Amino acid sequence: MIGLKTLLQIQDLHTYFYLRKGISKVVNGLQLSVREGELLGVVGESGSGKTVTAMSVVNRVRMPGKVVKGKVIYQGQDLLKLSEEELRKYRGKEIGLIAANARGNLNPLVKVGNQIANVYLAHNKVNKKEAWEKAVEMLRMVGMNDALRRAEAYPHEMSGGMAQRVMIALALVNSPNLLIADDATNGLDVTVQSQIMDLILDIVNKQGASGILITHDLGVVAQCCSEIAIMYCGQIVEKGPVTAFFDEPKHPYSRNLLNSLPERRITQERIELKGSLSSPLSLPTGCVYQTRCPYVMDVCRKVEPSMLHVDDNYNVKCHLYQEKTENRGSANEKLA
Amino acid sequence: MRIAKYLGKRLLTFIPLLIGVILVVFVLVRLLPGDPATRLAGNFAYGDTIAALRESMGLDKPIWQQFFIYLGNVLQGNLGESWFTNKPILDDLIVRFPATLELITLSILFSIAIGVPLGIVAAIKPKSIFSRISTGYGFFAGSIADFWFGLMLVFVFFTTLNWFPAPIGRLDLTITPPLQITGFLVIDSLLAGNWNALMNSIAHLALPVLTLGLINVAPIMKMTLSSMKEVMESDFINHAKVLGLSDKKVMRYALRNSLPSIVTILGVIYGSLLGGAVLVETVFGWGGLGQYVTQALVNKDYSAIQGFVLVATIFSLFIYLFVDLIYMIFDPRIKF
Repeated sequence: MIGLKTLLQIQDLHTYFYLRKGISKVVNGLQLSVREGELLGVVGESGSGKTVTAMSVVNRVRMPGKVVKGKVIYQGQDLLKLSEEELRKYRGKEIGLIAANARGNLNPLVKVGNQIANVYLAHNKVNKKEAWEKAVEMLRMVGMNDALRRAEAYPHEMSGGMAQRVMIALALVNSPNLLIADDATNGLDVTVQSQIMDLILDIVNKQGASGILITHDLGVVAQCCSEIAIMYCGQIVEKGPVTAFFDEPKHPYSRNLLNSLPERRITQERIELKGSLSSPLSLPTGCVYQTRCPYVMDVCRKVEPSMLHVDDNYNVKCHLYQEKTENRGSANEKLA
Repeated sequence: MRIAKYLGKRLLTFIPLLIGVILVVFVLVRLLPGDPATRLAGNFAYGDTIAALRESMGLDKPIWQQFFIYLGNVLQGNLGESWFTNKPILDDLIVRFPATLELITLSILFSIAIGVPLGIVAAIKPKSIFSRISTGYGFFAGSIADFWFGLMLVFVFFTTLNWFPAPIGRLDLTITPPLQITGFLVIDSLLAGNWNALMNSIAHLALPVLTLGLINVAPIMKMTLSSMKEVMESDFINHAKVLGLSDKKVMRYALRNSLPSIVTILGVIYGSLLGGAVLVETVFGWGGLGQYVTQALVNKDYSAIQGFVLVATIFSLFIYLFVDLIYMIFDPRIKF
């Protein structure tokens, strides 16, 4: 079960993309930690920097993007300080990553069995035959019928769901301690989605690994995760245990997000988010949510809120709770 | 079995293609200014001599009649006779074909041996000195004329340094050529155990092969570079790195996926070299097909020109067929 030891800690992560139009601050001072055995759901709308965060963890942000600042501390080691060669020992071995778009992420010209075997070979001293057997075993584990024959197949010969299972096998073949599933069920139909989710949860539980589930589906997080983090404009604006979050989300953005679920709607009137997501090319000074926040105050436009500790394991990045941490109660009255 | 069916189908498509090419060349050749009968009879011939000559050459008949006579002959494997050498065109071509084939085959092998590795290195380490050298070389080789380059090599290595034999033909006149088996002097003299002929033919080959080879390194290198670059930026290569595959393995993935484009450009270059080596053949007095067809063009030797184009077309068609077959081996997504 959830231990107290922190497995992964991301501190003040900044990942920028250097575009012709200017610097796009896609991840912008992100703080996040994952404890051992914890399953954390990271939720945010498209463009909030979820995928780039996942890639930053293994320091594999693609050009013209770059991690410019921050620490990614995994078991006491700052991964961002390692060389490519040293990082390779973590990638695919300690940290497994499942990406969306399985088809595009599989090598079209190599048999899936060999692709899995190659990942196993990269981190273990085994011969090719043993690696191949491991690959077949992995395919069986991710629920492929006829794994032996499937291992001989090429990605284009598989359905989307099967290709996604191959992605999972690739991520799990070295039994990583941390699994990052980035929108792993994107583009699959609903029944396959739930199969894939069940599979990921089942394996994470069996292997005792920690997981980060990146999604824009609050329902998935509610069902599967123990912790939730809400991402907005490259920052985590709220993080806490799932139960506490769904009981009472704190950040104005989270409240809006939750209200947007039909079954969770508090009032009958339709809630509209005013304004749009701030462009990462020109983030406002102060709070990133100020352009849409109904409770915006003067201070929000000037000072960036810090991550406030409001409850056990519960953090919010909002000026409304500045007083609450000092003088509990008043912020909630304001929100109500 | 499927492959036999595919080959049959492809070979059938050759027939209309070839008839089309024969027709077009037949007409184009006759659009050239100047009259072959006058050219053959000489400037001082009488009008009735020329008229008699025209009749014997079959040039007095309407063009469509000429065409069908020619087509009928070609279908029986008779390409006509040269008006100038008085020998069957087919014999002339067969005698000269191996010389050109040996030259262009060795040249393209040389270009592959240099161009492909250079392109790979330039793609993998875009900022290295290697990459800059090869880009600069691409510009250089792409902008100079092959015959000029050949002349320079002759000037430096024959005239000045005298390291290589005079640029006249494939062997010194004093050397007895080996028994013709393949028509490739290097292979034939090796088979015959004729050491002198072997060394001498290699010495004669060196400069023209270097000329064509070094020039054709440029497109091959550029194609390798650009297709490797494109593949290196693809999702699946990125994911392979995320999974911690070694640089060597990642490079192999990338190369495997760039091979189809590289093979295509190789096919195009090889096919075009058959007639494209004309100037280099002339510089080195090679006595191959290129030189033969140049002479035929000057002499308005219609059948010789048509015969050469036919052979060159068949050669290119087979090269492209071969390229397509290689494609199928490389890419499992392509089915017959």
